[in-house]
Amino acid sequence: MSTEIHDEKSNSSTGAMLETTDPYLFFNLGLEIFGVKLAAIREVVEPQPFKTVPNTIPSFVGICNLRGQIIGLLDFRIHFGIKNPNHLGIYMIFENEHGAFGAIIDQIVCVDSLKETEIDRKNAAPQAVIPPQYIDGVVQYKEQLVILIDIKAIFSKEELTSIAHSKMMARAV
Amino acid sequence: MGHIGLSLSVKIGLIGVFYLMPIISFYYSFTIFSGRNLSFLETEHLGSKILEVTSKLKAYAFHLEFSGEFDASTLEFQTLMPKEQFSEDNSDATFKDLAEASKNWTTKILPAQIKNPLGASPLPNTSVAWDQYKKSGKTSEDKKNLLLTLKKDIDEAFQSIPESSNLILDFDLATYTLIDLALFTLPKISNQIQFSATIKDSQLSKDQGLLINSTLNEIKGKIKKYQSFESAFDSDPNKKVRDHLISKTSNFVNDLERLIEPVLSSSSSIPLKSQSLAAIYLASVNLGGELQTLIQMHLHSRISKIWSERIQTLTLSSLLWALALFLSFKVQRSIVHSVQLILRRLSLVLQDSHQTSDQLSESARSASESAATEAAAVQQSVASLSEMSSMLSQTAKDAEITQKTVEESFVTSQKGISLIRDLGKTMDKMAASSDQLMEINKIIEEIDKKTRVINDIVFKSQLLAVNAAIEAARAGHQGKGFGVVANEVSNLASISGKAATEITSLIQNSLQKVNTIVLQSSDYIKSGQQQTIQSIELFELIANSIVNVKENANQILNATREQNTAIEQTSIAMSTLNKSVQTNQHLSQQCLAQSKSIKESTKSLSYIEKALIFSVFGTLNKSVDSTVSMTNDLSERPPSPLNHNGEVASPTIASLEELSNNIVSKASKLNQKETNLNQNDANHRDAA
Repeated sequence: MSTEIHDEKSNSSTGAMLETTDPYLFFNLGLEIFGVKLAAIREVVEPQPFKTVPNTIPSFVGICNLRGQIIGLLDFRIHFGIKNPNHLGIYMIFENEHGAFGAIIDQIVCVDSLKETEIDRKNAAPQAVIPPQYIDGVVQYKEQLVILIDIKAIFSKEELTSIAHSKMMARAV
Repeated sequence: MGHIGLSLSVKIGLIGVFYLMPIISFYYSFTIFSGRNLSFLETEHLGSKILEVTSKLKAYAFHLEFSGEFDASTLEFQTLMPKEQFSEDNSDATFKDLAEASKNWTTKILPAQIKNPLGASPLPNTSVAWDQYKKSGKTSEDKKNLLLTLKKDIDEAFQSIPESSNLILDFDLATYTLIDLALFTLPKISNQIQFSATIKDSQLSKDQGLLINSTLNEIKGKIKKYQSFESAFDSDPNKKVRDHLISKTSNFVNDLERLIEPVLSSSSSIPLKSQSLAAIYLASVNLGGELQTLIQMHLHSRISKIWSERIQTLTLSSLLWALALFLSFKVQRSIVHSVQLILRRLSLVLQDSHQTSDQLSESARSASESAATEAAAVQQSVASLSEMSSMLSQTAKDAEITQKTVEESFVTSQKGISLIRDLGKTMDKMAASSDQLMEINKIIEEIDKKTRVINDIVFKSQLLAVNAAIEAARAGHQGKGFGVVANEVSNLASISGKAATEITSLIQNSLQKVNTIVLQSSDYIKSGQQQTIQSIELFELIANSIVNVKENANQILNATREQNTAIEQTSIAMSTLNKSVQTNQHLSQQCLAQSKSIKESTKSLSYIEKALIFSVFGTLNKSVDSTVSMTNDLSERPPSPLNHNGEVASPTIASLEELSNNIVSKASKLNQKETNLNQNDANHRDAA
């Protein structure tokens, strides 16, 4: 549960602007560590009371009221097939053109900057846990392979509806 | 045999008693008739002696009186006097006789139990007077004094004898009274008469008359006294003579009284005819003589009385002798009869005796062998007993050691119980401290709650830091400073989170540890308490069992001691047994030897029997009865040293009896030993 926020001053102090760095938030889903671009996150909040919405995919646990704004909640642990859903976890709040969404994760590991060169964008998804369209890239971080998740892809309307549709279809079959 | 022998001895004893009877009766009657240990002869002798001496003295006194001073007128009287010859030597001898007789009488005849009134000297005054008389010129006056002293002594001697004394019979007292009357009182009258005839010229003065009267009274008194002993003369043959003399004396006294009556009534003296004086004198002298004769008769009758008693005694004794002879003859007859019976039985017994002696020798041999075996067995038993005794003593020592050890362990167990009780108390204290530990646990839980609050704060500050970082990232280049602050906050949050996590883990650990410790310790304490209780019970059980062991050890010790004493007694018994077995062996060997001798004896016994028959009946041909004749062929007489008289029988019978007694005693000894042996065996068994 160590959280490190590396300064990007070291990169800028070199003066070489060739290598751009972006801050990433690393978090835990079970034992696995995943990363998300910090810029994509609106905020992190502690768990809120939520209401389940019927006839949705299992990972869509429900909706909650965050400071007067209704937010849909997607449990990443269920969504990515990680078992340990009893933990309350932490809510990461995202925002796109459709509104705000919450993703439930287990724990925040740290905030750290990653160089663009470190990120492998091509050899995506060695594990079959996460579908390839959600993967932004893979990085070697602290002797561990970390998947960087594309939040926007996950929370796009098409994606959400297709998921719901496929699930519904699967259930109908 | 025994029964016949007993009756025989009783019979012999009876014979002895029969013979002893007349001897005892003779002795008894002799002592009774002899006047209670008083010798007849002594009394008799003394009586005659006194009579003799007094008469001699009287005569001597007359001689003295009429020889010296009154020469002229004595002639007439001298012719009238009894013709007694006296000389000086004669009188000395008489005195000596008298003295000796008196001495005898007082020392020998008077027994010690009667107080001797005469003292050491029988005639004390006389002996003094006698000495004076011997020293002096032996004048007539001396002699007269001597006589008077003697008379006085004798009077005193007689009077001092108590009348109830056994020594002097009434008869003797009567005799003495008579002697006194005849020899001392009566002559006073003749003296007075003679005095008045010679001195006063046939005048009888009043004084003389009074003297005579008093003398007459004296005579009367003596006659009365004499008559009071009348009962002693019941069987006297001379009663007539005595009565006659007594009446004569009384007449004489009466005549004289009548004669002197005028003298007493008148105041002056009256003349008397010399012839009448002479007549009175003669009468008195004659009376004296006659009385002397009576005295002699008395003494003779006394002697004859004694002799008649003796003869009676002798007759009784001889009658008893005859009875004894008769009875003993009867008893002897019965003895002879029993001897005949014995002979009959003897011949029967002889037949058995042959067989029995053979059997006896056989049994003696076997007894000897078995005695030897017994002796060996007994010695083995003694050895094993001594081993047993030593083992027992070892056991006793061990038991004593055990007892001591048990006592020590009892003390130790008591200490253990007290220690365990202390331990129980300590366990209770430990339980209490465990409860306190539970309180500590609660405190720790409180700390844990506080730590959760810290964790919450840390979580929130982390979130805050992330959000700050997001804001900083959004701000781009301007938000860099803010990003540093956010980073620092994140760092602080992570540090505090780390510490909180450590605290939590520590608290969890300590909580777990405390819980486990509490649980374990409570378990341990519970089990410890249970174990303590159990161990207290166990220790008490141990103590009880130690007490039991102690008692058992005591019992073992006592039992061992008793066993030891029993073994000692048994060993004593065994040693006695051993001795008796050895004696038994010896006896059985003796028995063997004696059975042989019995055999021999039985052979000779048949010869002895024949001899006995011969000695009892005097001939061999006379058979006692059919049994005797059947068992004995008397013609086959052995060449034994038999004489043809009865004397041989007694030694033969004696040897026979000796032999039989010997056998009987040996047999009884053997029997006794056997009984002892059995008893010892029984004792030994009991002890074992």
